[in-house]
Amino acid sequence: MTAASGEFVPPRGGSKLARNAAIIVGILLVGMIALLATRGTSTPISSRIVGQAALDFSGTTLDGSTFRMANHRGEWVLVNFFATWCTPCRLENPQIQQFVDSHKADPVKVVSVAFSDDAASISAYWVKERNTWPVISTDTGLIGLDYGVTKVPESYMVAPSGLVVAGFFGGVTASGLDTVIADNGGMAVAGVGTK
Amino acid sequence: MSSLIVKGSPLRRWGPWIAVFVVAVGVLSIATFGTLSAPTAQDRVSTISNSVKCPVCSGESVAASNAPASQEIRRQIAEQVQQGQTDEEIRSFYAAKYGQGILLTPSASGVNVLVWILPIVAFAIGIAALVIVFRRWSTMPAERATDEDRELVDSALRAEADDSDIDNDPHGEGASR
Amino acid sequence: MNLALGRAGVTLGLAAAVLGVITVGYGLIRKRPDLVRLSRWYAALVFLGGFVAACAMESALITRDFTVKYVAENGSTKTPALYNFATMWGALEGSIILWALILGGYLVAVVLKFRKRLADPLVGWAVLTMLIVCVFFFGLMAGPANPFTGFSPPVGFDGPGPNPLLQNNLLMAFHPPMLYLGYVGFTVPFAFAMAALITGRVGEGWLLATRRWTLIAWGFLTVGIILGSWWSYEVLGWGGYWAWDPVENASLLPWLTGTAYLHSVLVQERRGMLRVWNISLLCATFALTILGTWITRSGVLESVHAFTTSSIGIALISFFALIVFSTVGLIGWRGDRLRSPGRIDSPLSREGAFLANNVLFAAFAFVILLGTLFPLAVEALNNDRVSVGVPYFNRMTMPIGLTLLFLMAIAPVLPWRKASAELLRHRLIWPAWIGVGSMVFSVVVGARGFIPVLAFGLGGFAAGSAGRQIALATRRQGWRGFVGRANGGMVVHLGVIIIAMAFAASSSYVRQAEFTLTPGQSAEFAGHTLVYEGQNRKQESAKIVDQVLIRIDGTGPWAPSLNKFANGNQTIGTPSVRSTFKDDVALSVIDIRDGENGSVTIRVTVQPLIMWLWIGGGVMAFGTLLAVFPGRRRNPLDAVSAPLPMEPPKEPPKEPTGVTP
Repeated sequence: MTAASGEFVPPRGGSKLARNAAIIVGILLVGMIALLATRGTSTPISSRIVGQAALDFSGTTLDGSTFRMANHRGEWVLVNFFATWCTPCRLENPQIQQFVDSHKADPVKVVSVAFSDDAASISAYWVKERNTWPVISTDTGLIGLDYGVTKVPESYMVAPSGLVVAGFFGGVTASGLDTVIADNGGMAVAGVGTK
Repeated sequence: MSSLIVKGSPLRRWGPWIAVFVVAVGVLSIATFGTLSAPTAQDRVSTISNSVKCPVCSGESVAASNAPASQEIRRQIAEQVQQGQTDEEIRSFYAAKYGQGILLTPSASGVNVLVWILPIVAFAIGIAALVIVFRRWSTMPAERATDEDRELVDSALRAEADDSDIDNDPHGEGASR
Repeated sequence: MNLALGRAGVTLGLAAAVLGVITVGYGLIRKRPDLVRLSRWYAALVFLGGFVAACAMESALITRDFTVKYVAENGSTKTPALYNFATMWGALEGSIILWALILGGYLVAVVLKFRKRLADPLVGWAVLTMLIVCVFFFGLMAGPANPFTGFSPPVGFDGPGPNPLLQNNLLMAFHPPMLYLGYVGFTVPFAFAMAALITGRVGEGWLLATRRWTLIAWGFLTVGIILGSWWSYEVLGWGGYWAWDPVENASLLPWLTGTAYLHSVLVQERRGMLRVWNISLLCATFALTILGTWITRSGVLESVHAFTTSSIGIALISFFALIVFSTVGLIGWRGDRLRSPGRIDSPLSREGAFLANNVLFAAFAFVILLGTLFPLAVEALNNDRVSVGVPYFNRMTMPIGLTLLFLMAIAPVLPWRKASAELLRHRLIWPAWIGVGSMVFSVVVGARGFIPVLAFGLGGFAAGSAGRQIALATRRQGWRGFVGRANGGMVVHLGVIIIAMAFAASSSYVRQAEFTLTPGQSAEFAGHTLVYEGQNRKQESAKIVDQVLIRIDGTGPWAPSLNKFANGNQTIGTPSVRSTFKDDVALSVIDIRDGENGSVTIRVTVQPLIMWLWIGGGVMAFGTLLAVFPGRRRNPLDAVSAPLPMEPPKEPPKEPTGVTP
């Protein structure tokens, strides 16, 4: 096979150390490579607040009124964190609009909270997209921290009971939101609070 | 060097080393127990924020990143320090909110123990392998060298000893490469 | 035009590499030296292909030819010319061109250096191995990471420019090429190791043929890592220079195994031992360079340095698997032949010290690899997230680092074969006094804490030991006492010690604080006075720079800034650092509040001895140069290095040194 093989007698008497070591190392490396090859791209840390009570927050919306989370007990509230510079957020925007439109008569609220963005670009964006739901655009850093937002778009569905029932990491779809509501009791459980 | 020839009493010969040892221990104990100012609140904030991962960045600590979220967390940590919370309390506050992944030091519980234990195990195996191999070498019979080889080696050694210019150093430092 | 030229270059390189593999492989198996010798032409063509591709890309970047998609995605008319040039390695596809170009360069260098021995199976297989690596990288460019994809720019199109972080500092032009010269350089010794395994000529011939190549690659890697760390310090602006980030670790891993190899190879040259281990280390080093590229480019691990992620992860990991399994298989197959009959008489000897060194470096590399990949393992095991960061790595590597410093003090004075306590007593007393002296000095100037002061002591001890060796060598050989591997190695040791001391000091005594200041206000911190003078806005072609002017102890003004880039919404801070030999004051702007009477929030990081990190890096590079320079030739009959009689006697007479009996 090669030029030199067969012309050299290896020293006898030793164990097949190299071969055995190679086999062991090989097996370990197979495991490592299998591990590495099967990993997808890294998922960032995500919030652990699903299942916990939603934290209260309040903020000023574009029309100057105040949105306070605690006032919406008894409704389904989608808290949506977004930024105008984030493409997936722009992509999910029509879906949220569709969700809002389909629940005009229901005890369902959507509130968007800006994430690392400035008020001017948000109001421009809101006008351009003709969004009809409230958005909090200033002093939103602590709200994001409270909800453990890591990467927008990120949304949380808060049940009428005040419990966070689902987190959406990445864009939402109207049907996905409806499914979450249906799975958690639907409109029947709403209205037990203030309204 | 003539000092390689053993002479004098052990105390005389090892005296300088004892002095080195004594001074070293003295200096190290000053260094260890000497007045070290207690960490200020600022220092604690930077220590803690160095061990908490920035939740919105890729692979930076809260201290290292200038993302708005990190700024908020730094501010929050400063507040928590001021409120008198311990480092551990503050860290577990973030762990509860974001999961263990937010802490840059893996906890020593569950499967995470492995990341602390495995290096020690591997190091112990390495040392054990060295010990075993030296044992085996020390009991191994001398190599089966022919007389011819020995002559060759001897003559070369003689040649080297002759031109070894470092004071006839029998330990071969002259050929240290 | 650029597109066509680039594609032609890639095709040429790929075709030449594939044909080269076929021809040389056939020639080697069929024993047709005439075919094997053709490798020189294939090598030249591969290099030409890489060169043409690189020229095409540079020309496209400089002329802002947006018909090349890579330029459309990473170039911009607003980017200054130099950064346009450096954009070639700013993103994945371009960096593969650089890789291929360097690989082609090394291939040509090997073919030139061994031009008289091209038909020698050892060289033939080595060139074949390199050609296979070329096939992989040119294949990447032809397929999944094609840098010459077309793009039809709309009228008035302008690209976004490179990532803002990558157009902020000159070091960006030097750090990646250096790192790649190191990474790729390890292909050469790896190729010879494979050739030695395949041909069965596992004696020391291939080692001697490649030791200088290894040293050069190692030197480039060292410089690349240090420049990268300098870049982090100057650009990222958090006061740090080493964050144990996966990408940083990825560059450190091959450096660690490479360093271990540079030491243990001496045992093999001298005593004919540790053959399996040395070959394994070389193969591991090369495999780790590929793994490192995977870590950097696959996006599987979070990193602040991963500027692009892509789909070539699977290709890289497959190539890594190919390397790993072929080397492990070959070593297992040749295992018996690799067994060497020698023995090490005493743990207290040069050989013993090298073994201990290797155990420590292996442990070091293991800790880094484990810490880097552990989050993936946990995620796979129980779908949980953990992070392994700075505190872990500092804690785990600190004892290893201290032990290495201690070893660095002892090992250089140890003789081969066997040492006695008497000998050490005699040779080490002055280095020990230097160590104690540096401890006393550090405590007198105010250093406290067991670990850092111990580190200073061990550093002084090791420096004394290295200095002793250099002094002896220069006394013996004059200026030649500085050159050659052993003496240059001691200079490298000094550089390492300087870096270790600077690392210990800066990480132990770092002070950091944030201040919010209004113009004219001053702050006192860690013995420095900062005065905030005002702001300054500069409009540059690609960005708006908001500078904050600050006087440090009356010097300056220093101007850390926030840069708002025209393209994209990113605001990047540029720190400003006042460096002195004693300490560095690094300023970065956290926030500039408009309208609030010009108040700003700045972060101040004061760290001692930072500048010595870069100085130590320079000393290491200089030492490597000295070590590459041919030193005193060893007498071929040098007794202790003569292999023992069971050596395969069939080394061909063309071997350049007289190691074989």
